[in-house]
Amino acid sequence: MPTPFRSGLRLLGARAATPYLLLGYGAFLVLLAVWSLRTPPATVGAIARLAPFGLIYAVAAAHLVACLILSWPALRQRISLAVPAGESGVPIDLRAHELAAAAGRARLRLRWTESERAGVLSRHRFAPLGTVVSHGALLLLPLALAASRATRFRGDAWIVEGHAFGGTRDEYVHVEPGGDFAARAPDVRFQVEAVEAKFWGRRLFFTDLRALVVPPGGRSAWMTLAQPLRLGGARVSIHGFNVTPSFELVRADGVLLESGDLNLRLFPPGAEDSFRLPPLPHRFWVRLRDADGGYAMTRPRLHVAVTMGKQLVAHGWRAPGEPIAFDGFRLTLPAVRRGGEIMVHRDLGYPLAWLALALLLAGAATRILLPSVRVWVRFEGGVAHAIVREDAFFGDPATILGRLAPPRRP
Amino acid sequence: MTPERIAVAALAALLASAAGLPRAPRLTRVATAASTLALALLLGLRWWRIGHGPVFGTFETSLAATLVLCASAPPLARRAGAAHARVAAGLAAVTLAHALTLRSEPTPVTISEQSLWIDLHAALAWIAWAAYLHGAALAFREGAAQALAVRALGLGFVAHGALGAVGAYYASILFATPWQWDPVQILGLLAWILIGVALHFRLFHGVSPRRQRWFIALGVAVFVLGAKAMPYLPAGQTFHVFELGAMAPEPGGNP
Repeated sequence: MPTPFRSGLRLLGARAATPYLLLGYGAFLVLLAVWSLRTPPATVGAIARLAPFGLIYAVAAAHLVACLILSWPALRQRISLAVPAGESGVPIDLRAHELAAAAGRARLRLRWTESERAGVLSRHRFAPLGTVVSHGALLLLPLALAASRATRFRGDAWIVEGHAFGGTRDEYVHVEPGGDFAARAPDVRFQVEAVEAKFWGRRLFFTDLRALVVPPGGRSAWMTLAQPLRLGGARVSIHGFNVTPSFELVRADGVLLESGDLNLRLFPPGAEDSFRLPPLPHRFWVRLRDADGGYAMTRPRLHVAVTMGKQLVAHGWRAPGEPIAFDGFRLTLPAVRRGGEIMVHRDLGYPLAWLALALLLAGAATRILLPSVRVWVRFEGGVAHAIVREDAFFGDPATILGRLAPPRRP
Repeated sequence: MTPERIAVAALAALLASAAGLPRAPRLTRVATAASTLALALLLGLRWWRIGHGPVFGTFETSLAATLVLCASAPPLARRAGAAHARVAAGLAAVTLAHALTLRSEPTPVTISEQSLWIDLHAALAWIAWAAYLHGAALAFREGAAQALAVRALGLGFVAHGALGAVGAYYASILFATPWQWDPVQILGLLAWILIGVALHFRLFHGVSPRRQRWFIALGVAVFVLGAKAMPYLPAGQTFHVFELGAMAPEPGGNP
């Protein structure tokens, strides 16, 4: 390796720098924590993505790579069973035929390297590799982020029971990212069979919210917020509830002029929405309440107000099916349908991110919770000598030697 | 005051008494064991009554975290000394006292919490809570307590990491994003990094927990702040807190 490169690598991967880099990132998080107490999370996220903070991530990533490269030779030594060169070990009171029992007592695995003359005992020998696994896993996160940016799709849409959802751009009320819909949107289509919601007493506190849907050629299945459906490679969950009426417009002589389903937002009770029926010049304002006073809408009552310009033409509370008359017409809201807001989400960066987190945790758990021990024992002239390599993370070699060769009873 | 709150207050008083009696290690042991059993019974009864485990609401999770703290104290105290049992009893008493300031009404689990991922998230939080508090307390002691402190902090670090990973995974299901720069998330990450720094100091530079005890205490304090400050944050500032509906306006009278 050229010397300037090696020098640069050593500078970049200086272990003494690790805690201070982490502390620098900690100081950055303190700032963000203070911001997050007063500022919406999206703003805090925007601050966190500013270029100066990106420098922290870049330096940390370079330091991490350099550390992994520089620590590899030492790490290989730490998992090797080759006898450490130039060490004779410390004498211990142990005979060759006792070594197997001693290994069991110290929970070490024994391998004889020279028949009855030398052996190596070990436990969790490969645990130090957990350091490489856990830290190397962090390098997968930028890849996950890049994959996420290239493939992410999130769309929110309102569904109504009895209606189909076709997954077209017009049906989504919100899409992320804004462009590239045709390339990113998953093929999510289904018929909505039912939407159910339950509440804790008369409080606006959901204890159940689910939708029964049937994909084309598929079987009906329930979706909830916590247990999304997998459709077209995307997760589909329901995260909002709504109720919306159907309508019938009748002339005074009883002729039906128009009927259909409306798509209004009338939940929670008190929310008001409006619609028009061209060519009529009127606007119809609707509110909804449960006569039982709760949110379950078991006995819905609708408040309908008909306006023309700024003039109130007619208004009143009606049960479903009760008409309201205005200017020679009658408007009826015969039924109230349940609906909900769904979220369609696909992101191919996530599997990589979960893999990174799983490796990070597995590596950290291995390294931290499974201390590595290696002991070389050699018997010469009736005397045993032991060389101990114990993980300095937790204990000292005397403990292992004490377990291998405890003081003999007189 | 409900019988449940009276029981919690009595346990807090018992543990505080045990913590304040340095010459009665046996009393500390008995008080800790009795509190462990009583808390397990209390949580079991509450579970049976409301139909879900102690995973929802800061009152319930405080009791569960204290249970894990009390249950893990005796084996550590056997190796680290009776003084650690008193410190653990004191910490448990403070946790229970704080729980008494929180709303304790039995609450059904809301739709976003009806998942085994949340149960796992909560269980990991209890483990991290107990391990970190033990680790910080042991870092101030000498002898065998030092190796135990590293083990406890290491276990807390892994449990805390798993807690965050499970939370991120579940957040991706609920919100289509694993990370939202929520104050609880940021403080959790900050605490994880501070404890990570302490472990790096121990691993790479051989700095004993005792030498960095105040730094460890700072990391654990940030973790505690993230876990316990939730109910006091401004409304809507964190998705970790739910309006219980009683605070939302009741629907009006019949039309």
